[in-house]
Amino acid sequence: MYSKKEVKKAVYEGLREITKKEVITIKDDEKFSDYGIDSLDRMSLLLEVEKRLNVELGDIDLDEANTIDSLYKLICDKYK
Amino acid sequence: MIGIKDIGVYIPQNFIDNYKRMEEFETNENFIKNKIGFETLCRKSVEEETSDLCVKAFEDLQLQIGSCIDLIDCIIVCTQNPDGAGLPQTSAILHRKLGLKDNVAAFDISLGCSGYVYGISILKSFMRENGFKNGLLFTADPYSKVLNHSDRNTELLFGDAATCTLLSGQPKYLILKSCFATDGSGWDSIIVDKQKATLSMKGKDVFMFTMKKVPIQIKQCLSDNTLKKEEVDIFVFHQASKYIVDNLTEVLDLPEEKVPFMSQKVGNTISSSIPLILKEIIPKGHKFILLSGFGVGLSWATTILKKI
Repeated sequence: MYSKKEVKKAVYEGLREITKKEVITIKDDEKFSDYGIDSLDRMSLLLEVEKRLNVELGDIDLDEANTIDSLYKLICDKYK
Repeated sequence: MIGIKDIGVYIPQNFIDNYKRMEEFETNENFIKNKIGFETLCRKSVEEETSDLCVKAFEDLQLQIGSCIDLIDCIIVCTQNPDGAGLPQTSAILHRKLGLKDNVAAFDISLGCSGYVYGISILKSFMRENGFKNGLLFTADPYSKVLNHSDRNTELLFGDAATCTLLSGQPKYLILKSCFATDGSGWDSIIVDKQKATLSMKGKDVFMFTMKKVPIQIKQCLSDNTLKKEEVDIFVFHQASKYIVDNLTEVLDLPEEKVPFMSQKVGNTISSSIPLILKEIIPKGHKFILLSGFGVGLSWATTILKKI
């Protein structure tokens, strides 16, 4: 349903909103936690991605969705 | 016209320093100060029962307004951590400890963080329906009774406290139209497990629910009361955490100075968190104060107070 590019764009926009930084450099396989995004901000990130992609991610495990790659996979599995 | 007249509070003076537990719970100063927001948590002593916390809150009320025990027509205790095993109702035990008359109505309501907003509406309606002049709403929900002290999700959050709000026919603030909501599908988001008898919380679920549902209700409550958010002087949100209060402020596009976070030293005191702040801000004489409580159930409620 969503391309990796779309999910990544939603994540980047969400991170801009959360970190208030214009430049986001996180890699696809880099953990959000290693990028300085704590557990609370990761909840906010899920909300931001939900909003941008019009999906429901409430049942996604926060620890499993800790990279762009894993979040993309979880979204694809849910919305295939 | 029945409304809020005065508030008494009790904050136990046993404080746990969250900064001293950073290593134990694998966290850091920034997370405690700026995200959770609770630098210390107040906890009752082991010997104190829920009703004892209520008594102390009532004593604080009496310090402000003088002796009023003979004038009370009804009391409600809002708690989900009652005295003993919950039977008899904590309000009956409190009734004895306060030395109230026989013809005083006393009952408990089982609500958590939405309990204060529900409670003042319930008490106001009960008083109005029965011609009562003075009623007391107690909030006392010591989560220390059920915390798993090694659970990082909950152990850094909750404090014990109690409040006693006097509703009377000569109030300082009227309670305007309120909004109430429940989502039982989230029943297990905050739960005390029967076997383990300890609290567990699905933080993500609670956060997502709060950010999605509470702003909608706040806007509805403003609309129901024909008010714009700019006309509200202060927004008192349940002090779930600084992060949640900050995020609600941002989502609703409110000025930070209108949304107090005042629980740094006490923690999330469940249904006491709103009245603890109200006690401090009522003397400032704001015209409109919006209250919004949300949490276990999932349950949420919003109302607006208007100064007389």
